Amino acid sequence: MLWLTSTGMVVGRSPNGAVVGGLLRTLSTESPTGRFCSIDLDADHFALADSQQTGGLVRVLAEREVALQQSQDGKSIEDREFAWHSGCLWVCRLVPEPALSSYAQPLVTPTTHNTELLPLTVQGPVRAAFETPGILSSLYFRPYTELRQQPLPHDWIEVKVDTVGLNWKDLLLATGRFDGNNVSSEFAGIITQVGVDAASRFAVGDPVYGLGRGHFGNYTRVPAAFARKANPEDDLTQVVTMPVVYMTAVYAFEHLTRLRRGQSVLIQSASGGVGLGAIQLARAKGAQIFAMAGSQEKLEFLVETVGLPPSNVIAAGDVAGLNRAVKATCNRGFDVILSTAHGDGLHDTIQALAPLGHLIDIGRVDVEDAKSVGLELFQKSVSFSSFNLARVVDHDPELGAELMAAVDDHYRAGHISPIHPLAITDIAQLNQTLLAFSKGKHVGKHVVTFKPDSLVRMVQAPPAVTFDPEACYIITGGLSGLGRSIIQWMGDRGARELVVLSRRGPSAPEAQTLIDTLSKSDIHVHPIACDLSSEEQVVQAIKQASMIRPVKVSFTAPCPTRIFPSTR
Amino acid sequence: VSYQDISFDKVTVRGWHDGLAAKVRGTQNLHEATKHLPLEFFVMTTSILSVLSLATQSAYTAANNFQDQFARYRRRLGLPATPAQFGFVNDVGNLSTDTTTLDLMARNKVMTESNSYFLRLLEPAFLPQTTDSASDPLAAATYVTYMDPAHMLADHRNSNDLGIRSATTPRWYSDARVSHVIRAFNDALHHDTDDATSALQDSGLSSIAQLCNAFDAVMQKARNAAPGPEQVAYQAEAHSFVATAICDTVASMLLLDPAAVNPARAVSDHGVDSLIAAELRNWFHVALGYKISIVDLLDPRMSITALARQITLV
Repeated sequence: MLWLTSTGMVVGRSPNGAVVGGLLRTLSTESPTGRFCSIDLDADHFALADSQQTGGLVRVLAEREVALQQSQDGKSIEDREFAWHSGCLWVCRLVPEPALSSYAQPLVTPTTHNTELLPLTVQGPVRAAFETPGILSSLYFRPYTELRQQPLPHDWIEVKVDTVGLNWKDLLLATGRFDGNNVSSEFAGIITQVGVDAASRFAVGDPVYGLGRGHFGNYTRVPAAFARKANPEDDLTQVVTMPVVYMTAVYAFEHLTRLRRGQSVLIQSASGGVGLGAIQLARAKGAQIFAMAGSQEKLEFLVETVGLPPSNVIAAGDVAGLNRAVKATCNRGFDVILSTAHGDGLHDTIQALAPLGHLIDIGRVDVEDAKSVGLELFQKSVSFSSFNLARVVDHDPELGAELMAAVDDHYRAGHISPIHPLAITDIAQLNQTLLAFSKGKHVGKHVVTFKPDSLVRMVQAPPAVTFDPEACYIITGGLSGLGRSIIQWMGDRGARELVVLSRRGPSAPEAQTLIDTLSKSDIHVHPIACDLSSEEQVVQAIKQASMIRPVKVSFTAPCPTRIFPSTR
Repeated sequence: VSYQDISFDKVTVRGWHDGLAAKVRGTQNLHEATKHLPLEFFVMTTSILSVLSLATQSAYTAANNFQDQFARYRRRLGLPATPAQFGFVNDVGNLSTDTTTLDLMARNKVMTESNSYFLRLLEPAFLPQTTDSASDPLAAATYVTYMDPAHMLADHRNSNDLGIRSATTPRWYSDARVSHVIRAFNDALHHDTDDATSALQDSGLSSIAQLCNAFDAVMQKARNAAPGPEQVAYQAEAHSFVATAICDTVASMLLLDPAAVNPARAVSDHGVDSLIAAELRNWFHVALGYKISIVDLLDPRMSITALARQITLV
């Protein structure tokens, strides 16, 4: 059978001929001995434009008819569908589309997608990742697709990152010695988006700095409460050194204890970022400062650059030195110790406390390892605290906001200044920087800048889709099975208003569970009962949907085919 | 939604219209109701069955093909449209545990994949697609998934490892539209160094070709033999060859041990239903050049031996 239609299907004139094509495909499977062929003309009512074309078509039709009469072996490849347009016969071929095949890969890693040295800004938000967790040299960058898949929380801001400060804890996270799903924790940059609740304090374009978990992304999203506006004259590479170290110092000296003029304070690991910050804050408070450091160079730095008296500087592990320092406090001991010691060092340190003194552990090694401490050490009515700033801020965000505000206020009042010395490297050298940092030989602070044209080892992942939380999405096909997983998937990518057209609508048994589950994530599913084959009902349903939000996408979810063998 | 599940000659007019209602009427209605809206996307997930054209799925295949072409129509009007063709999702939905469906997919070598694969390949439907095809500017209107030669090769190896030999070749392998896919699959088979020699022999296409040649040879001998005892002997050889081939094929389609197929009984006695019969009938045609109606094939009085005798009559 040779079936002619005249719908101009291939050039999009009308889709109606497609029903015939589909039917003939099945028929030729069902009756292998029958011969079927369809030709669709790009013409209205078989009226071809010129007679020459008509002649050509007639010849082709005759050829096809003859071909149909010849027997066919069923093994060789055969064309059964043709389109006639522009004076010749066209066939259809499926061809591979490389742009799509990358979506078939479940994971995007350097192994599956290869890396290229690309400018940082080439594909929007990107972030660092490690191909082998814990191995610094396996660092690469990948598209930060998850960053914008959800709408920005109301009390958050999005920042185009200018600089990130490095902290020892970040390194422990990057090398897998600490558990957490971030690798950077402070930032400075320019605001690109502001949540509704943060709009009174921030505007797009404001320079900001603050505390916020990140992944060395060139964009980051952070709670607005832990960010403060930078002044136009502030150097962002300078202010970025402050959040973590000074929030730690403020919490230690103004919350856990109240450091007062004349009190003695011992600061361990004093040549690092937190140590130098603590020295500045303690100085501002008029305390008598003692400092500990691990190498001769660091001790010299504390004397020559920071300006501490040589008698107040003690080598780490030097018990005699510690005793000398205790003597210098009229044998009382220290009122406050900011400690990073562990093991025997911690034990010695606690013994150097003055009566009613306060040891604040920020090293956390023994605490994380759950070591025990003898209670007899507390006979002098001393106190022991231990904290991790990230935990403090997580458990008490209000306190976190207060700490950051205090840091900013101290800075503006001239009590404290950005940490020096400062090693500035660019994101292009991030893995070398992390490796150098991990050796622990530096003094002061490391910051990483994000120059837009920096070349980084990057994986080119296929572009990902994000849905507009302000738009309404219409989905047909119901609330169970694949329909359900599509709804969930769209919600994961930012869709918030989903109208689901199905025959049963809200009365479907699975509807309510799905609605309840998703409403917890602020995703609103609106089931509407609608028979798609009724024009009236569809128009009504679309009207209903348009009232919720402007309709952006219509989407027919799959109705799976149901296959039964018929009974004989 | 209920689809027609019987061969086209038994479909009623009512059944045909019902089969088209959701997809054809539904698509038209959604198009009419939304064409004044500034839609960013109009995505239709359609079924790869319109490429595979499996027996008994006429209305469903027609409806899916309509949706595929409807995208061209919308694009010509300057409206967005993307139908994305998908195969069988094997871990979500009622059908994923339906053995009839699973067997059908397996017999026809349809690629089945997980829900997460489906969602990953759904992603590009919502991204602007471009095409550089000069001959068909609307080519980007549709994309087809679950057609991966590498995946087909993996499945093929897997079946070989499990010792499953397929006697039949799915009919869609010979559809010119997928010829590039099949060629890539065959190339991959040839280059599959692990079992370069056995791959050639075990590819569905070549095993049918071998059967075909062997059948021709044995029939030739029977035909050319001088009448008498010699011809009788050759005819008996041809007869037993065909009977064995039928038994093997029935066994492989029903996933049975070949020894479990009794040539003294009809194919329908072994559980061949109308769905499998349509595929089996295709095999008779391709491998043995024999045209048989579904009625004859499923006739409970027609034993496999009798069937083989009919085929080998000189």
